[in-house]
Amino acid sequence: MKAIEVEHLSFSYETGENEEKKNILHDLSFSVEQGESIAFIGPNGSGKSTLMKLLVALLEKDEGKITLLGQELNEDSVDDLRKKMGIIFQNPDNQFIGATVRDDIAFGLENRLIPHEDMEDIVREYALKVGMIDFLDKEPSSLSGGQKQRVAIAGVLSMKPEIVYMDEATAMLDPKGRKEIMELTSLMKKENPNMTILMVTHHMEEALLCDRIIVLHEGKAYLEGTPLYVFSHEQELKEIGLDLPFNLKLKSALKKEDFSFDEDEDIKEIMKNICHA
Amino acid sequence: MSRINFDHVYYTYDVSSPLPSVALEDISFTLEGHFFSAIIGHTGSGKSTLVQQINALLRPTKGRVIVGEFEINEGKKKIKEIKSLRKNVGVVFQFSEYQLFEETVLKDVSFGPKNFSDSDEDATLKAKNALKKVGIKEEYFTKSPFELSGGEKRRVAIAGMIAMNPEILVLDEPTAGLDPKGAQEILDLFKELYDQGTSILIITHDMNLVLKYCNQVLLMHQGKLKGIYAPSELFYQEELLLETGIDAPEIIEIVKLCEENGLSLNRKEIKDITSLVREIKRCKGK
Amino acid sequence: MKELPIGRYTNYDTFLHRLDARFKLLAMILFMVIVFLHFPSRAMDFTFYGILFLFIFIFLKIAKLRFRQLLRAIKPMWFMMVFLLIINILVVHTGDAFYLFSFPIYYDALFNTAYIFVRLVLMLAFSLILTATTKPMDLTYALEWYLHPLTWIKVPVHIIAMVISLALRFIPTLMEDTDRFMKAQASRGVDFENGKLKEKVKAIISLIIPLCTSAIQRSSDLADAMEVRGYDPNGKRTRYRIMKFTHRDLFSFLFIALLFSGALTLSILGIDFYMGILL
Repeated sequence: MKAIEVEHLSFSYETGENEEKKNILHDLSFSVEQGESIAFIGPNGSGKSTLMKLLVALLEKDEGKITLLGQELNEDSVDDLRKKMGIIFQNPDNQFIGATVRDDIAFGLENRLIPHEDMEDIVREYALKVGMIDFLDKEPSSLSGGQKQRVAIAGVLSMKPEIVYMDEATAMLDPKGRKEIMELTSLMKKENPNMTILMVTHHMEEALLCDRIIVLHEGKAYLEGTPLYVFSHEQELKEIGLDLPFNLKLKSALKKEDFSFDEDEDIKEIMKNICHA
Repeated sequence: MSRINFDHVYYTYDVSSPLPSVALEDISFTLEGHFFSAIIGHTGSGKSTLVQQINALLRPTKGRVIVGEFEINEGKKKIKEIKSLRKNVGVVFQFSEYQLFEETVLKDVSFGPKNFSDSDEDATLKAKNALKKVGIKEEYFTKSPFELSGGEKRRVAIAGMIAMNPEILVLDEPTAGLDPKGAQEILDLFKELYDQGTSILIITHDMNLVLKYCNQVLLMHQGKLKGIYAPSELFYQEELLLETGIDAPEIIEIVKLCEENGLSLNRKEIKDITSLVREIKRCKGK
Repeated sequence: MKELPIGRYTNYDTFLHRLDARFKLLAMILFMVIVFLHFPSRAMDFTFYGILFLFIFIFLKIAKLRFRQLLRAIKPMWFMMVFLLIINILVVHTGDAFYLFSFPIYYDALFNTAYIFVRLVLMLAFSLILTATTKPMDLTYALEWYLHPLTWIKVPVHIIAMVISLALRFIPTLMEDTDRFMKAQASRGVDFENGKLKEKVKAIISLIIPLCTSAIQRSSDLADAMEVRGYDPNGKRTRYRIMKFTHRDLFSFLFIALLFSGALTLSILGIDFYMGILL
């Protein structure tokens, strides 16, 4: 079964003046297999975050069809579908709802009518999983951005979601926080092979870890494929202001200066060979 | 000529509360001449507290800071002097796009110069120039700042500081949260300002930026200044980086690998991929 | 030396901190009622005030709070009290009087002022002890518990409680925002302390607008986060935090109840320990 099927999705909003419509997404179609991880990259304003909000029904589409886990997303199915998905937003502060770490993890459980007797165990289990077990009674103001995002992840995972969205979840973090979240994401993938993960990111290194990349540009899928495939289109990416991950950038720079090497080889091997040539 | 001098500066938050937290401990250094410097260090290492001493938003609990002809110490300084200090040292905060508040972009940018008692005409002229510098098109001047995209807002906020024509521009994580293109545009702008004579001091977690643009780095660790280094020195000091939790740019790995394999690269020359490849070419006699 | 203002929650683990918030809220209200009970003689009134002060001393000691902090909280009241005293001396002309430089001062005027002062201090002290030993969140839960009956007349009590708890949660965040915006605008030459009225208005606008935009942004993000995590203001929810009434609370409750009913009885029956000998 496909986890996500998006067909001819369009979204626009009216700008304040002269009722001009601004197109954010235009006739976008793609599908995602269950257990797949997809990265959406693209310049600011390409519609990535809008897409995430449409997929969790925080925004209403103009046209097109969204099918999640075999069920069409509409008013009737939204409550049911939301139980099967979770989203981590960009701003660590603005999604911390509870007064303390434990209250925040429990917030979703309370909404899902998990009995009181079971909650403490679940809270502890997921706090442990994201490495926040020693911080259960801490208030958000005494946590770092990375720690708050880990709590958000615990909150999402505790609902046992089938689809997880990460909307630039690392954008406001320092390098340490970003590393923590990336490691946690990899772990999450490994532990739940059936979990589908969609992430929006500006960090090409993060996109590289996904099974597939979809490049959005002006509301359309501009490029789509495995990371290797997408990043082999250096020129196209450059045109819309995107960068390559470091290794690929280095390879490309070497190639331009007429160094010859096997492109599939590890960058370290390539460098060694060049040094000894 | 810009000059920043810290003389045994201490700073403690909530000095007299039961839980005082020491943010700066015995910081002494001098930045002089025309500089493009970075302050790096972990979150909570005191970077932001340090820069706020430079334009007297915070005053040292002990010690003194001398910026140009101004001395900032524990005592109260007359507000007039602080104003002219703040005109000379422009501090742009993190996520500065949120500080915009005027009806139009142009008005917002001219707000700073007006506060420093420029006439309306002068202020508008300075604002227009600053907006041009940061690459905001003229048709945007009369728009509300709230209509702009995040990256544009950030540039307008920076223009608001540039319009005051400060000698030293201090920026706290100016590229955080921007897409690669937006970040690059802002960095190009700083480079241009630097070339035109402004000294730049930047707080950042982006080590690629430090290596590429900066001529010296202040490394902060747990409220103390570890030292001032040239980027091409600092990033090869493995122990120091490990201790302070700094990740060297990826390119450093490659430089080391090349050196281990017999190339004698000139580290000072290597600032990014282009210059690395150039160095390799030079070594290989190509 | 500056100290934490009393009234802010202190993170200690004492007997008072551990008491159930619902009980503490009730106890505070009972103490306040005692403060306003009327006894047959002034001597009795002040005896009870003395007893209440004794309690306050004991509570402060148990909760590891310092008496000095309480004095600091009272400080702003001095001016008001002096003012009140002068007014009373000028206005009250009943009962006995003594003469100060041939100016008549009536005892009633002094007592009236003393009553108001002591009562205010007592109330302040009890509420400060409550907030210093109870987490704001727990107070919210307690309030929600007491207001629960109002759901019968369709008052959305749990929504109100949620709003209060979110507000409490975001106070530190908004304080940080305020600090950041003030510094950002100060860097652009805004002087928040001096200046003409027009400049001051502008200074405040330059702070308020960014604060509002940022607060609106935050609340819209927060609403999104709550919605996708399945929050439905009108729906059913289970509870993670359940307050438990322990033996500790029970004994404390019995004690307070005894004290309260004793005071109430004395007041209603008009019993005077001093048989009208004193005052």
